[in-house]
Amino acid sequence: MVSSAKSKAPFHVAGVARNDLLALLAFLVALAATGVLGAYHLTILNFVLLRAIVVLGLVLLTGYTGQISFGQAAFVGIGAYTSAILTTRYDISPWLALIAAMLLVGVLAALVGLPLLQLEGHYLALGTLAFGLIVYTGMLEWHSLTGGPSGFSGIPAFSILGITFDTPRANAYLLVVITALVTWVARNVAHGRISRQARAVRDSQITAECLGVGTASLKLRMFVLAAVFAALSGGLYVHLIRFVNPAPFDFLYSVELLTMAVVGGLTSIWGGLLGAAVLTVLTEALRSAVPGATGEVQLVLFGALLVVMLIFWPSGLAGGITRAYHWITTQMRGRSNSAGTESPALPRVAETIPDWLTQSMKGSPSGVAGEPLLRVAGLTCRFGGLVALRQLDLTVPSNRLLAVIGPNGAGKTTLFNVISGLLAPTSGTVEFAGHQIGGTRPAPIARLGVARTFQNVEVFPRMTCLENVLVALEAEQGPGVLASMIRLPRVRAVERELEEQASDLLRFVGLADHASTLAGDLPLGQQRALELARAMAQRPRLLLLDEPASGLNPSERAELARLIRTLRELGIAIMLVEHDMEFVMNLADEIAVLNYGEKIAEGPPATIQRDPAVIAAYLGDTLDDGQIQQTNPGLKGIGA
Amino acid sequence: MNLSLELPQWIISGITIGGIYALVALGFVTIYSVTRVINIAQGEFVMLGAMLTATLHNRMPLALAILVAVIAVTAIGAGVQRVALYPARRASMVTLIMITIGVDIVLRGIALIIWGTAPYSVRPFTPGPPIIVGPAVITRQALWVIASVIVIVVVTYLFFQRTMAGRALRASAANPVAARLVGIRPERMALLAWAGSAALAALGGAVVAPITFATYSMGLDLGLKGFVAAVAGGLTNPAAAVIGGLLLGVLESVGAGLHSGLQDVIAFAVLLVVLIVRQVGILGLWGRFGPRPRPA
Repeated sequence: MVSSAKSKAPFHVAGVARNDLLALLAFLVALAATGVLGAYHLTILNFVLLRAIVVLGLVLLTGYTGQISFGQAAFVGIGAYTSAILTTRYDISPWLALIAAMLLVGVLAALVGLPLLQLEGHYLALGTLAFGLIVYTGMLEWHSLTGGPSGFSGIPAFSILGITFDTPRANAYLLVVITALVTWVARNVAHGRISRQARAVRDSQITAECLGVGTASLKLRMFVLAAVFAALSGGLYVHLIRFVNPAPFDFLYSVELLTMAVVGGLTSIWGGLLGAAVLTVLTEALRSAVPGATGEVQLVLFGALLVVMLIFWPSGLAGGITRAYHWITTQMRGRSNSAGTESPALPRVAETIPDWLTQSMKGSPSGVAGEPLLRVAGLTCRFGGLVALRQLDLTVPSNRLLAVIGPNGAGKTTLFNVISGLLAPTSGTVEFAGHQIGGTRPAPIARLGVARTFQNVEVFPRMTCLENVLVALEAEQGPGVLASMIRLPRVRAVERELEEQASDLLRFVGLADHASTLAGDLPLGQQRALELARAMAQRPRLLLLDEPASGLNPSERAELARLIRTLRELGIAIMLVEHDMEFVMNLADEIAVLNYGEKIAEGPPATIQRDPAVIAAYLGDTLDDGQIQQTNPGLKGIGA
Repeated sequence: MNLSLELPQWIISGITIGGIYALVALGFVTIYSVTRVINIAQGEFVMLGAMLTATLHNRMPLALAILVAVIAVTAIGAGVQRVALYPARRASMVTLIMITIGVDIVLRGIALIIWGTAPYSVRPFTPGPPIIVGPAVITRQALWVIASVIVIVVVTYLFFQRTMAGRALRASAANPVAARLVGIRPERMALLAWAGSAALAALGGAVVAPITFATYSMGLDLGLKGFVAAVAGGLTNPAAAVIGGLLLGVLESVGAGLHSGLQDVIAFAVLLVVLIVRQVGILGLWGRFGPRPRPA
């Protein structure tokens, strides 16, 4: 049982290897096809490849990072015009012009993305759409630069070592090689740390931020990467066609590109290639199969295909193929060993902490000696007229567990949100390990060593348990976008080590069997355990637990309590918000009681249980106990 | 160019086209409030209203032609909701936008097959010379457009405030769960919102057709402009959407008067600025990239 997580890792690696083999095969087939196809089919192949390059970027941006772009055609267009203008006006070599176009678009995308990516959901979709339309209008209207609606020609072809790429076949060879390179880069990005961070942002940006992932910069870098892919396609296109005008870069092209990504399958690199190929070929087949079928029929079918696909097959062709493959393999496996596997025993929390974790905990400095780790002073948090926290003072020394209790609406979660950076305080200071953290962003706070769990469990549902933990393990360091693009063996070695650590953590919280289960498929109790493993992966010095026991059954609560004690023994300071008083009283070193945003009592559990102000706050001054027990059933264990 | 002479004229024509943007925006807001779907195809309902009116008004009285066109487009709107949106009602927001784009493409393609690329003209509702007010010339049809927009906005307002169906729609928009608990069926409300929005758009298309001509490709542009107006008004506020539409029309018309290439850029530049300022705010940007923890 313990080794099952490890035994899955080689399988995963084998999966990658199998895909790489398929990719190599596809590459060779494409090369061979380039040798034998006629001019007409070669032209279609070239268009497939040109689109595939853009769509691969879109898959990374939309499918992996969850950021939609309806303006990708604009980046293709700017790439195309830049390369065209540089070569015709300034006699620059097409190769250099192509690189310059990619650089320019990269910078432009960073400038555009900086404000745009702050938008979320459909606002981002429409912001990018507006950007695309503005660029398109610019191409039409800026006559002196672009030649207006009719564009200009005389753009030179690529040439190298005396070979000029001026026939469809020569271009197809060039494009097959470049597309293969782009696919390789996209696949590298889609398999490493950046991919996990991107999908974490897609699944829940706030949670990713609280794990220390710099989400704003990550989104921006993926946006720039997709734009550079688009510019590459645009630059290649003009030196193939030798002519440029605005028409190919209109809004409909952006839609077409996104349609290709959706039809192919947004969550797989292969989906990008498949989508570009299927839609381009389909369009051409339609043109030749239905005589007289011009643009309009194509338009209708295109739209209808998009709608039908989205309704009935939202995971795209790649998703469908993957599902079919899994179905077939499970059917075959089912027949070969029909005995089936016995259901595993109820997973229990491991007795021992992984050594590396103990080591790294001991290694981490625990603040200035004698000073408390966390010091909250005069903290006030106001939402309009509502005062959620009023002049709150709290200190948490390392190695201690401070429980924060109070009736609903007392400001407990607000306090956690301020400490973890999700809310800025109205006034007052929050000092952690010698740093002022009040009002700063969650990611840098997390990197200082503050980890948290959420009242409404926040796992990344469409990522496996192992990946959930990995996101936290590698939040701070690891290969960036550029390093991920080449994926050196060194990167792979580091990754394997981290995967080991992640499985250790999963075993520690009793999830060893679920390393490759999607987090969203776990029951609530196990999702809470996963959250805890993820928080530990941050190697926190302060751990904020927001109602960790809610929704757990008594035996799970006992396990959780044991786990929390183990963590405290590691030297982690813990703040615990919890309504189960028995749980709190058994665990807490100190208890702070909040009511209406004010601290009304603080002290060891025994004192708090007898404190008249606390009893009054919980039970009311005038009501008898029976009534309160009905309205507030989570209060067993408190005095009275 | 003499600004004081031209400006009133630009403002008048801006209000006229802005009125149509306002109707599209009103449709956007209705659908978005009730179903949280951004309907990119909204402009195609305007196009269908204009096209059907243009085809029918040579064969029957104008009023009847408009009535038939509006009813037909209303049915199309309801049909789109049933066939394309309802089956995917649990899909993500991005999927839903993509579906409406697909619908937009299909409707435009069908229009292209039926009517071709040629523009169709519709004769003005009341023939006669334009009315001259000071330096500005107002065509009679522009008055029709402005009057229709006013009537439609008032009727829509009364519908939302005074009728049971209108109140149910508002309840559904404000709190779908609570609305459901008191017996309002969300799927029926979604259907009603789509049908009503399509009707508004079709009526807009019918009254504007004599001014702009009717072409198969007029929809996307109108739809996007209407959307800009709706966003400027906050996407859920009908009154603000109407004002946004009128303002956008005027802004565009003045911009186009100053430089003909500016017209389209203005709308989308406005959209970008509005989106960024509304959703993020300058301070928001600072917050994302600004302060970091510092040693105390």
